[in-house]
Amino acid sequence: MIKPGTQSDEELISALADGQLHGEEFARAVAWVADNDEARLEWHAYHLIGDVLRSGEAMVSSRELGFAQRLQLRLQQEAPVSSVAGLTAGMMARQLAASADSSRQSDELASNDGSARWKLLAGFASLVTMGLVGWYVAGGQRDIPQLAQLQLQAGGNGVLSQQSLAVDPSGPQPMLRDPQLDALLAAHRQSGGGSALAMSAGFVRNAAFEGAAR
Amino acid sequence: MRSRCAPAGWLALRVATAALTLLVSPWIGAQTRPPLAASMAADASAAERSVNDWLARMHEASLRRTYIGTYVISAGNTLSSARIWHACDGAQQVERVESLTGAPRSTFRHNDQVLTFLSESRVVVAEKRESLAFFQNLLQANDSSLAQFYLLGTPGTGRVAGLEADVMELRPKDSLRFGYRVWTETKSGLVIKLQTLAGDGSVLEQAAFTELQLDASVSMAKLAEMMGQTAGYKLERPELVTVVAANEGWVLKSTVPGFKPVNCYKRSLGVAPTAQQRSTLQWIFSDGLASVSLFIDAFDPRRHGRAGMFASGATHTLTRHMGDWWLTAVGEVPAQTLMAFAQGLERNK
Repeated sequence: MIKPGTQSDEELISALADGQLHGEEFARAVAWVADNDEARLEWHAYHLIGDVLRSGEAMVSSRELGFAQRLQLRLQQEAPVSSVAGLTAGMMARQLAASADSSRQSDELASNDGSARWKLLAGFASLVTMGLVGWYVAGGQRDIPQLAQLQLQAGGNGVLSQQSLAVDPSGPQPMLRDPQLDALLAAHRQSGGGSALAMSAGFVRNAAFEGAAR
Repeated sequence: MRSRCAPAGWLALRVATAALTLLVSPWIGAQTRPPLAASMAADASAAERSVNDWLARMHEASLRRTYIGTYVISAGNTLSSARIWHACDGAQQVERVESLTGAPRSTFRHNDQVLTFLSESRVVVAEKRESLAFFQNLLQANDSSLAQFYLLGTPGTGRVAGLEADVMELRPKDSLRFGYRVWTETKSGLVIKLQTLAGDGSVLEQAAFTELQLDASVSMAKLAEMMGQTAGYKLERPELVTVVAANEGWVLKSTVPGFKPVNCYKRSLGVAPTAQQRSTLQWIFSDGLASVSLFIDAFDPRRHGRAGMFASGATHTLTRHMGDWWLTAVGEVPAQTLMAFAQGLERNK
């Protein structure tokens, strides 16, 4: 039986991401990841790595380069942490650029030379984890839509524009657990939350979510 | 363990459901049997498919392939998981979903009829997912509105849970909706991984099978039998009355591009025994891929205190005081979409 602590965190996340855990082991691992911030970072990093393995190198590397550039920009704006984290971001950007070049070259390697690709990915994993940690340390948030944009799209109706929305301009706040809000979220998933994208998968998503919310 | 002995009330419900199913089966079959366009979509190569071709193919796969799998959903700080048994016969679907995280919970779905067993409170909640018909109609009508608001990216390939997959990306043409990246199993078109993407391309939410046995031996009859094992459970049906928003005194003065009204209900919330029952208006909109619910309550300062915008993964929630009313807008859409709905909503009584 797998218990967090007896197996390394990386191995546990890897087994979970690879679908190697079943039954109680699986449930325990999911519960552990759900309650552990560092484990969630590892989980996201593994999925990013999975995307690298499954996708074309060029597409992923350019995306991660964008991530690195945004991170660096953000860190430059954060004076108190810029001296250390800025160096990390700079190193990351350079190494990701090198990774992108290496990835392209990796196609030219012999087909049985898998180790080179895995070394590259291992390095990439470390960089991604560092990047995610740096992002959290720097308090990074997604670009938040501005109210001005909304006014343009709403057509500048005079009556409506005088009503002010009590919305924090810094962006949405994390969802808090509130029984009344939970009931509304559940009602939305039951009667409203649906999509032509995946009618069946959408149902499964909602059913699983509702389980987590209660 | 639930007993196999069904109470008289439940038997009546089952008989009624069976009768209803028999009555509507030909209609359901006609509605869900893939139209010619969908069949052709299955044969078309990934590069040739339109948005509607992709969607029709995904829907058809859920009607034609049985499977057992484990699903993991990562959204915000939440990680949820469920085990799924899915059976179908080309026209009907029966599904069992056992949550592996959170409170123990089993959900069964037969087409749009849903039963949720809450083992801790010994309650089974019966519901009908009417919105499924809206999305089916959207596909049947070969509606072009999706292509008006979403751009289809260049298809790619990948692997999920050991299965070869086509990867398609839907990019929003404006900032009122999120993008999606979808992995479908190459041969069947079944959705096996789904990402919701923010405007900067970052992943807001991801749902994927970590393990999947396609064409597993899953019996529709057995799942239906399990669905009927309700002895020892108290059956609850959320009170849901279809209404017209304008008759209830609400209009959307400025519409939100792409979002059409789907349904409007008056419903009582709080099915748990201790919850205080109250009537709430739920007005539902969708652009075909994303949904928004506007919940409108009579304002009560004891319950409604915190106005603002909240986010968890792709789901945003806006709360706002509107005179004698309290609005809660919920949807898998950007914050500004909910703000547009809130600004457009007006009382006409």
